[in-house]
Amino acid sequence: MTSWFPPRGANSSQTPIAAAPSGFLPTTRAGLRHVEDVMGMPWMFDICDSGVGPDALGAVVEWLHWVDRSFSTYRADSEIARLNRRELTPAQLHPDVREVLDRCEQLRHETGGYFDVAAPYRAGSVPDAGYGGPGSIDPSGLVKGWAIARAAARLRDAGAHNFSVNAGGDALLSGHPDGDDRWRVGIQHPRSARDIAMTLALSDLAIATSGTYVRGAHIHDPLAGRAPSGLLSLTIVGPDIATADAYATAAFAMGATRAGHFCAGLDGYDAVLIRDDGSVITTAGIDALRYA
Amino acid sequence: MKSRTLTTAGLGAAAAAALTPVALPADAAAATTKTYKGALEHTHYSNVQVSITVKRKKITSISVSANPQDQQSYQREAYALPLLRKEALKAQSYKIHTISSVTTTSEAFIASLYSAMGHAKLL
Repeated sequence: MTSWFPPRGANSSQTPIAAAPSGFLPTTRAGLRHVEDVMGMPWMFDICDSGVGPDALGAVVEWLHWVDRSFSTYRADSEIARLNRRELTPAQLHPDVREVLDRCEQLRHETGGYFDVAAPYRAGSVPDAGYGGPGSIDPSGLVKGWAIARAAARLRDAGAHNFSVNAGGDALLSGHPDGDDRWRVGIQHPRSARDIAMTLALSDLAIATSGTYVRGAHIHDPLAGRAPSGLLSLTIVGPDIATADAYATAAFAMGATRAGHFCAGLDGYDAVLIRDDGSVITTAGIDALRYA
Repeated sequence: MKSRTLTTAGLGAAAAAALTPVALPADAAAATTKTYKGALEHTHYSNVQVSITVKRKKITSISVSANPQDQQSYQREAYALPLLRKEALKAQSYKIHTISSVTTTSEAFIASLYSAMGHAKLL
């Protein structure tokens, strides 16, 4: 979903947030909470396990900045930018970069072409998609989710069981929060950014939402080359955050009717579709995830 | 730090708005440790509020409230469409841990941080 965001001027490691002495904050609860500005969005970590130290989280955060440097289409020296300029061949890419690109290609097939890393650079689809001309690719629609999953795996290796990672609105919920058996996750109201349209209770699941951006449509139908119709937002819940994010992006681009069919046919992933007539459609598995 | 962190270049409108008039506490320059809260920003990401702790005109820590565990509740305005309103009215009484939204940029976070820095007289 990040593919269509405009460049934010300075790259993220040079923003005021990173330059200020941030660090890891003591909280009134056990565990760690931290916000990091990476990839142009806030990454929020809420780690409930008391045994996970700042060093472990710091290593994860450092790795996220490496991901940003490697994948950003807004950095001239990223591997993706160099690939787009034909300075690197696919064989010369870092194994992690190749892994992401391979998964992007799989997802393009799974979604009937609606998840498409080439779409941002297709003529007329967006005014500015960073470095790269026609024929370039932008895998950032998968990079965020992939990075969330990797970050979570690293936290688990460090002994974390009960934590959440939320990157710009897409979240992975591991275990449970303090004092509760599941994480309560609000789905943003598509017509009012400060409101919740529905609350789900999730454990060991991931959730991703796509929708029309407040400033206007930011997801385009890669096949028709225009903004999709009939949907205000589409949320996918399932085991893998990267897949959920990509499905949400693709299904939203399909428009209401096709998205309904696509979501109903998903295996292991459930969906909440909010249509532009105000109706809310959910797949069967959502009922069991509703809070209260 | 000052030359790099105190520019608004590249920040969005929300951040710029947060920089306009703020009340400056008289004791901000004192050597005591004091915590300042930024404006509660609602842009894109439901509620983001940044607090900074300042000692000798330097930020010693930044903390962020981003969910209703910090005693924020989600209120909604009385508009929108029938089914959504029903859902929202039901949802607003709940405390949530996190939110799934259309991709949120860092702008709201930055805006609140700058507001807190304004209160601390660091700008």
